[in-house]
Amino acid sequence: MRSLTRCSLKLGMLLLFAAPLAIRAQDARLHFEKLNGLDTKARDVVEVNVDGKVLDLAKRVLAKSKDPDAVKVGQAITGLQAIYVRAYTFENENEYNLGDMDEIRSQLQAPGWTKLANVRSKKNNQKVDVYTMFSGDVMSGVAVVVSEAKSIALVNVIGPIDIDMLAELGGRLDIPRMDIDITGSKDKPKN
Amino acid sequence: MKEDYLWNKTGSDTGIEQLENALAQFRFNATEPPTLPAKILALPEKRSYGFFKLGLVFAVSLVVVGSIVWMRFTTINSSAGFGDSAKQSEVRDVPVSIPAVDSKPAIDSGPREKHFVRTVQPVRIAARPIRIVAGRSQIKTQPEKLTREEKYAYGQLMLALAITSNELKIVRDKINGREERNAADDRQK
Repeated sequence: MRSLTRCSLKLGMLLLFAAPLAIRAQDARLHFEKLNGLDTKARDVVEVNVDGKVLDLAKRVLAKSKDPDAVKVGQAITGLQAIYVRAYTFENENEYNLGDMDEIRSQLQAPGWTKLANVRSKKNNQKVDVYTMFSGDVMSGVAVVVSEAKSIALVNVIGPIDIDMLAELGGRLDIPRMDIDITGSKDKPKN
Repeated sequence: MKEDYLWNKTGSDTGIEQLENALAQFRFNATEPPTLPAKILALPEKRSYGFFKLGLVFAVSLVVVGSIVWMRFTTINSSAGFGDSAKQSEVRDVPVSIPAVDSKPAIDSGPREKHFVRTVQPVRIAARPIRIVAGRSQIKTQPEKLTREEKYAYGQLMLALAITSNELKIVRDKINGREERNAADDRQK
């Protein structure tokens, strides 16, 4: 009986400490609702939501693989909780509302988010922002917001992720290099 | 009953005599011993399985020795590395020229005799596919088939990661490009 009480006490303490972390991790979630109508206007649309069961399944698949790159990806996303991606490419310039993007960028001004990179270019009216959120020493979120005259792209990663490793693995494994015209032909990474 | 008649047949004893007469037919009669019938029946001979047993023992021992040799061979291959050709040694005679003990000039020594030194050299042989046996069941080396849901999840994750890595790479390239440009400008100044 005493051991049961002690056990439940430990569990309670654990929940008490884990709960704020979980809430903190959820804070890293951006709201893309403003972009909901863009899929009808855009020429190319990519909307990906990987979380919960889908993410668990994908991690299980990665764990089964013996490919060294797959193992690296598996390690890079060990603590990943969710990943949300939106990418829209338009036929003409200014087919999306700039205010919607500003609204999303304003979400990144909330406490917790730290600016990692900021690129502004007058050519194509390019704006690139990379933000990270940390809970203590552990990364709890990443946000990448890219907007250009004819395209926008948003990435919201929740949970820790190895950014450098992911950047290195682009185009390898089964990660296809995406042909999304978001930076213009000159800036597109060579395949 | 008189004792004498019973023991040495002297005198007479009617009781015993009557009994004797009654059992007369069983009286011992010293005749020729009975002879065996002329025809002797030939019993079937018992088969000897000695040769068969010997063959069985030989076959079993051959299988045991063969399996031990095979297991040792596969162990050597597996220790050499996966999928690569394994190294084994081979004794080979290598011709070498040993100078004559006496240090006479080459003209005088005439044609030198070829000497052979036995050396052990590594030889590459094709590796056999390795089979790891755990108990009676063989460990599965084939990748497990994915379900539709797993394929979908994996595809979604890969797509998301691909876009993420693409975006991050673009940012990194941009920053690196700017840094390089700034460094070049500084050098020019």
